Amino acid sequence: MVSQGEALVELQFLGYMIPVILGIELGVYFFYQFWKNRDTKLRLNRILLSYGSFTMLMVIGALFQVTNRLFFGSANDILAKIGFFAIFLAPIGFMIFIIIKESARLINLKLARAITLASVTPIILLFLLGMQNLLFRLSIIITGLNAFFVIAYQLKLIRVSMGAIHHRVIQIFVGELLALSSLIFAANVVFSFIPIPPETFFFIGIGLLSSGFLIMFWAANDFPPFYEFDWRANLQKLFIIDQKNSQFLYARDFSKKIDSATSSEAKERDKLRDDLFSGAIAGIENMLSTITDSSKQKLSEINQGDAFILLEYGGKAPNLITFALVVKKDLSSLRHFLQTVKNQFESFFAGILKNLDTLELTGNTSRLFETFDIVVNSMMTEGVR
Amino acid sequence: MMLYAFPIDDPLRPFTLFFEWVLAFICFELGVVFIVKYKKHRETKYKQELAYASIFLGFAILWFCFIPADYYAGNSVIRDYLTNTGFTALITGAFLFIFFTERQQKFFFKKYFFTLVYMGLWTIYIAYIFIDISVIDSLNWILVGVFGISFVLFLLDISKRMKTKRDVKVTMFRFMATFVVFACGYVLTIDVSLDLLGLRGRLVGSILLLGSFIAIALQFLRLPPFYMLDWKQQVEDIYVIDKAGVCLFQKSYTEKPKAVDDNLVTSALSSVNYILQEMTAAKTEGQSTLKKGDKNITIFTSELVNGVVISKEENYLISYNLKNFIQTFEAIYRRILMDWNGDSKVFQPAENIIDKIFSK
Repeated sequence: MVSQGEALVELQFLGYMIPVILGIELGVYFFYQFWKNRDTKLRLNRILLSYGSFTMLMVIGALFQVTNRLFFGSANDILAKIGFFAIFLAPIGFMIFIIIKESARLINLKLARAITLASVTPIILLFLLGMQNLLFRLSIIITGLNAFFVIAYQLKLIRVSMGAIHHRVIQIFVGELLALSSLIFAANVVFSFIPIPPETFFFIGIGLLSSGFLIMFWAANDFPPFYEFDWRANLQKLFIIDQKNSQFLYARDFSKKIDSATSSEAKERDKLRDDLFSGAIAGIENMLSTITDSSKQKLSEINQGDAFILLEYGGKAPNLITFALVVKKDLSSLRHFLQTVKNQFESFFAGILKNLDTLELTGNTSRLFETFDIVVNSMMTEGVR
Repeated sequence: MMLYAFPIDDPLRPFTLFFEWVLAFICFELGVVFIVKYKKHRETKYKQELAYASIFLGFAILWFCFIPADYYAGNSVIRDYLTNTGFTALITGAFLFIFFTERQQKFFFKKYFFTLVYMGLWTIYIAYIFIDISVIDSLNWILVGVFGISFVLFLLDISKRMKTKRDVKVTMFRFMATFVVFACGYVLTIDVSLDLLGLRGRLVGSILLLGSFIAIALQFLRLPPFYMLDWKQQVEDIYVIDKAGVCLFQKSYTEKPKAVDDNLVTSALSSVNYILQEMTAAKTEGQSTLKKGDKNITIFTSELVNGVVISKEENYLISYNLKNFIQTFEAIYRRILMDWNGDSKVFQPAENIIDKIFSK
């Protein structure tokens, strides 16, 4: 029959297995997400490998430490060393996948490379000099610096990214912080600086660690491909159409640069094409309403071979305004871009849109909205939230 | 009579305890995964994922009860109480599985046949827990048998609706192989095996169960959802249109009278397709889809004709079957299409092909 003490140790170990299983699954899931999106050939997707290896190494390292504490009274040197080895390797595992030229906007690559390389020092010293050696303890500062880079990289990523990925990266970061906060409780279990039974602290730590992993799981679920820095390349055309009068209010071809030197003949040709597109969208909408007998519902997306037309409809103006974005890929961030365009346009021209019918009688309304170029340009350069 | 003494105290105890804990937790996780999946498709009326979730959660509770019962319970009364709670959870999970799957489809005789049979047995089981607990072991096996039959019929039904015969064979083979492993694992963990083989047998059984649960979950995840398999219910109208927009053939699966003439519809659809190709500079052959509220229009542009399906939802099986149908149609009528005299009666026999593919 097992004693009460042995049963308590078993329970602590079984409890700790929950975040271990979650952490390993999370790591594998990040790797799987990377593998799933491999066809996109987007180098920034390597961030998934970073998240995966960081989580796995941290959780496995901590497992060795917990096993050592529970079953060997922290006296097993080999288990402790393997545990520290995995923990020190975690920030290296994170950085190694993202030190690529695409990350240059986020971190100083040379410095990051140097610190990542230097982070191997504590691992070497751990095995050469042992855990009690002063030199080894001092070298942990380098790992700390590397961990600082890991955090700085993610904070920068949160600032630069947009749409769905922006939210996911924030969630992952919050999950990480929550999971890492469990280290405080782990430290109290070892050093007992607060006089509360260590088991209580241990189980609170497990709760925090598991919650952090669950948040990360939630964020990693169907993680979209990392197009964020490339989303502009997928934009083709934007049309803002007054459906009532089948006339375009604003059109923008993202494949061309806005050039005042463009000949008036070319401008006229573009305008004619934009007019045709506006009419076509309105026409398609009407034809499909008749065919499908669904006049109250609006066309939301058209997929035509290699291109997509995303559609949004205004709600603030008396006339029905259609926002059509022609894109190469149907990305959630581009849908988000279109929604932002809609919101900006409706608030920017709120007064004009209310009196659109009156204004249309007086002449070419599209000139009224040409200034929207400034807003679109700013969204293109600064991104949208 | 039990030979093995509980709570388990054996050199292998930490290992069996570890594997059984992992097994219980992973079963629980799999249940949660299917609930999350169900919530994602909640707008569809199908409860297939809830069925999978109930069975995994049932097993998770069973093992979460077995662990304290076999490793920590101080006396046989507590052990029996915990074990029976676990079995009741599993049997309830199995009942919910049968109910949720039969809700969608009739598998045998009449709808809810297995649900009613199982519910009857389940009620007897619960009653006997209070009347005579020694009988419930035999009842357990009857319940397992009924569940097994309904599960095989469920698999057969789902397989029949898959795309190819190969899909059916592969699915059935994988499930059967997994269930053999599962059955072996389960038998090795029951008390009789513990008496015969000791804790070593139970350790092997737990590992086999863990492997088979993961494999079963993967099979479930691979199975297409019911709402995808029921793609025929979503099809409303099918059109075959020539390149000039003339309706060659039309078939409707709705009873609503048409407000517009078929030729007007096909001309409009051809125009839409043409405009879209021009606007997006897309290839002249291939697939297009248009989403409009709860209507979806799938257009397949082929060399000589275009096929259009108006459906309630977007479904890859509709696109797949439309493409197949149009390619078959083109292959059969190629010569006629090259030199068509305007008589659409010549295409009437295509109704047989269309019925074979799209008929509900």
